[in-house]
Amino acid sequence: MKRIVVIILILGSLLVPSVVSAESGTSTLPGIEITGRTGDGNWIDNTWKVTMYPGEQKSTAVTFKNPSLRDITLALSATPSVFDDGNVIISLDNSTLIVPAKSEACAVISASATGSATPETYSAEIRIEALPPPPSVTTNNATRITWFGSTLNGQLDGLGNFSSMSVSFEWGTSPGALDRETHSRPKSRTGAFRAWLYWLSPNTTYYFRAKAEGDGTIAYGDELNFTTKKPKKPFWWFWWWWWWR
Amino acid sequence: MKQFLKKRWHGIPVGIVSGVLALVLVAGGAFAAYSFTKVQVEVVVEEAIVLGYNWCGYSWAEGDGDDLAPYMVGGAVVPEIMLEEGTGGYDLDVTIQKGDGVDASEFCPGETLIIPLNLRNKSDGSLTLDITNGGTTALDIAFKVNSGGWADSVNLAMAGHLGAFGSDVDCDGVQDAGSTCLYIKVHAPGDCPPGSQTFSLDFSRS
Repeated sequence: MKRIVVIILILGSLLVPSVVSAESGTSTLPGIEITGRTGDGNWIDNTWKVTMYPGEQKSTAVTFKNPSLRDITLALSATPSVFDDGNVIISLDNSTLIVPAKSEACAVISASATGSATPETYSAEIRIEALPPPPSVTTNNATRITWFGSTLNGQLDGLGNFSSMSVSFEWGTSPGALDRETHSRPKSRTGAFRAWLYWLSPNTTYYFRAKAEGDGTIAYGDELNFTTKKPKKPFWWFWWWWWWR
Repeated sequence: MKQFLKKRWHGIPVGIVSGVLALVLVAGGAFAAYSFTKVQVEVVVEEAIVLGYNWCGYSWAEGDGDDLAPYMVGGAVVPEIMLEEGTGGYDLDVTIQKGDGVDASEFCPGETLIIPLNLRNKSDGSLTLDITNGGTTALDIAFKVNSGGWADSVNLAMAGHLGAFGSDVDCDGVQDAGSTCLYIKVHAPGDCPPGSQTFSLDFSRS
């Protein structure tokens, strides 16, 4: 029974920081810091307050700093964004903002009023959401290169927002023109994958790149190449095969 | 599993309690992973067109103004003029009546009164202002801006930050550069009924 009580205490202690982080999830962006807010009007806590006349446009720039080692993509939206039959508009310069690793990026929030705008107070909410990193794949060097085949190697580094992706290799004999593709297979976790190419021509350079596809979103690795070996001895059956193919 | 949930300690269902705690822990973690923040925007739009007057030498003028005062064409005594901002702030109600204790201040048929007002655009942007007579049957109303000609309505393009307080001609007849003066000419025709008269000016901008 004492063990049960200990388990409850451990779970309870874990629960406290969990609830705290859930609360902060509505007011902070993990991995992102807001380092500057400049421009027209005033920032009071989390509210941009600006006074303007009809015919004017006011704006404020918000600087985001990403101290992490990976790029972070932010999705920004204003709700509502149109007031007074279109005479007052609150807008953002971009709906998505990529904050590079160890760097900063800026988003501009603007408010504009036409000459016919009705004097009044208008309120909107800007939602800033950190998007999951896009899927990424790496092409690794080919291995087991023989005079008639090779093993292509790739690495699925991230699935982005997808639970599963189809991985394959595109390949061909001309750089930048990879007109053939290996059979794709589903992959639901990051990690290495490979494909075996055979019936290749000896002493020929082949180009290839890794590919990961999920619901229309495609990620490619860099294009690499390998050259099949020369056959050491031209066996009689090789020449027969050469003629046959 | 069933045995675990049935565990009790001094009557407390510790198995169920620990199970609920575990579920809340997982749900809280999932919610925390969904990262976003919100900022608020509050935009206050204020009226950019300011209509004002600061008439000097006039008993009911506010303060010691230096704007050109209302005057009668022909030099008669000026009646009492009341200006009231209409509902919504986009119109101006003008009432003309006899001044208290001054018999000569009647606004008689056949007389013409000129009322000068200041116009100012406080906006950074240029605005177009339309001024029309809001409707009166007893009086003939006409407008002009600065030294322009008289017309039934005014369509005035005002550049950003146009106009300063003080009409274009002050009490001493000195031109005040940069200001915009709207003159309202009020003529009482021969068939104008006696008594106070009110008319309304409609302002709209775009």
